[in-house]
Amino acid sequence: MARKAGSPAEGDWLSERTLVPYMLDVPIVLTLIVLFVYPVVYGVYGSFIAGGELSLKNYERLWSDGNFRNSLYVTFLYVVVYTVGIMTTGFVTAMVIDVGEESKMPGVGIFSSLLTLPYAIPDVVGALVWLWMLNPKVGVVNYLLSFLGSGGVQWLTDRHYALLSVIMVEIWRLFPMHTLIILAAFRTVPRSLYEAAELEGATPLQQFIYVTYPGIRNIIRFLLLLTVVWSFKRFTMSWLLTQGGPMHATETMAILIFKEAFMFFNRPYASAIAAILLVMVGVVAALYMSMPGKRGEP
Amino acid sequence: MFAARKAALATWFVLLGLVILFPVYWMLLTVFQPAEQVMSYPPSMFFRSFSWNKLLEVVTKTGVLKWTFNSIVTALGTVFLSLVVSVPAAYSIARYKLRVNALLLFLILITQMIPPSIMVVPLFEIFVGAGLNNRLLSLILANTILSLPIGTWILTGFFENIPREIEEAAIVDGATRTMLFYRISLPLTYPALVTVSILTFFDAWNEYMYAYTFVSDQSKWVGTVGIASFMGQFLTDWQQVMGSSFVFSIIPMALYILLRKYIVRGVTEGFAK
Repeated sequence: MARKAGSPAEGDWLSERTLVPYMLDVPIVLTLIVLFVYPVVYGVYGSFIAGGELSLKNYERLWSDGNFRNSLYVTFLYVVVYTVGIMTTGFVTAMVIDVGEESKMPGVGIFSSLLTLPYAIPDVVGALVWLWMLNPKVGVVNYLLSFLGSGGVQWLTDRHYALLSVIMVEIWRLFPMHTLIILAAFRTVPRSLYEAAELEGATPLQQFIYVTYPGIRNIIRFLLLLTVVWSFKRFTMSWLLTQGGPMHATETMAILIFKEAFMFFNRPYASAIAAILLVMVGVVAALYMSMPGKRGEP
Repeated sequence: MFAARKAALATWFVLLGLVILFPVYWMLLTVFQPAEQVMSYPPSMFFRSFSWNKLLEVVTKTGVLKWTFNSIVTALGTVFLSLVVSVPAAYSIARYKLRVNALLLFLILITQMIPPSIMVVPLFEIFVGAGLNNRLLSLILANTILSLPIGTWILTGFFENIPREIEEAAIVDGATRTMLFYRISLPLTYPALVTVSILTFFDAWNEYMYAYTFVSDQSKWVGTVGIASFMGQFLTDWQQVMGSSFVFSIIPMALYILLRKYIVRGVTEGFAK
């Protein structure tokens, strides 16, 4: 690419006044206003409605609601453990594939194409298969573990394990995406840098610390923040696996909103929780936006 | 490379592959064995005998085909609407550096970051108010908002990479601005259109929360809602659940196998060029 697209030079056809770009924007602007901006405003407005009139009652109730405080805590735990877990899994897998391809191991191609398979499996299907496999009595996971001498673990019904089990299933479903992104990041580091480092006698570990890491640091930082943003979006798998239970142990804000709105039919209160979540996501989004030289998203 | 290191690597590969693929294998094993085999404990880890019976029963006696058909309609509708809206905008953003377009790009980024759980209540009330609930159209509209940002983003990057010289040459030959878009640039984005279509299709196929809340009429259910409904409160027929899951997964699996190249590109697009 010789020049940056979209930056017209003087007297260029692109700098002439024309309505064409505005016309091309009309459909998306209308769509975003009707189906995004309006609903968000509508939702925030709805959170200030109680008993048919404007009030702060829904927000006052948040203060005294133990379930809400619990959901903040669970969301925080979920986001942290999920983000660390999926970044680590993605990284390790990417490194294994990278080294495998480097040393021309047979089967690497097939493996890396199978790797992204969970991406093709819908959340619902993934959750149901794992629910079946993690069944404490007849599930295959506990059966296999019994050979290692483990007693039946209540994966999804013991409140000490439930959140971790849910997160593990979520990571199984989505880590391939992280692997692909990190693998693509590895490829952006020029080969000549490694050759130079090798000439200087750098060990593989030193090569990683002084060549690979600085080269991919930016991409990793963006991926990290986006993973946090994406983790707020997750709902389906944890809902089907535990419905927020046992004893609210897996009840993230997303699940609490859903329960309040569609099981307890308290939509204004659900909207208040959603408004708090909106602020939280907004903070992370602002962090992301303020990062210099940010790139796009997949 | 030392043999020991190679062996360690191979072990890693096999282990990782097993963990990733085992659930898929287990689904197939549950579906394609006789019921007695599936119900017995300890479970058999390998195919002892093969049986189509449960799959036939699920297909003929439950609504899974109907629901899968509804998913097809919803996903294709979402792909169509998303493309109609995102393609022109992406071209405009890539070619014309206007203040409006900078603002638009910002709004698109924000849209992409907002969790559906924030949107579900207001969208539900708006759709009920407009009489759109219990219609697949409500899902098409809601899914479009989910996928539109990523699609526009990928397409913008693609349009930016089309050399402007091609369009300049066309202008010299007397092309109008709209012709530049439809006749020159659009045909060149074909690979990006495939990528965006498949990502959008997958997202729509996957969606559950909107589908569960907006559509209560059983005949209008999409696949995600239908197969999740087989989960019993106390007793679950796991073979039925896995059978319907299998039927519902055939299309995304087939698309994945055929179009993997485009999926990988879509996932990594924008991150590491």
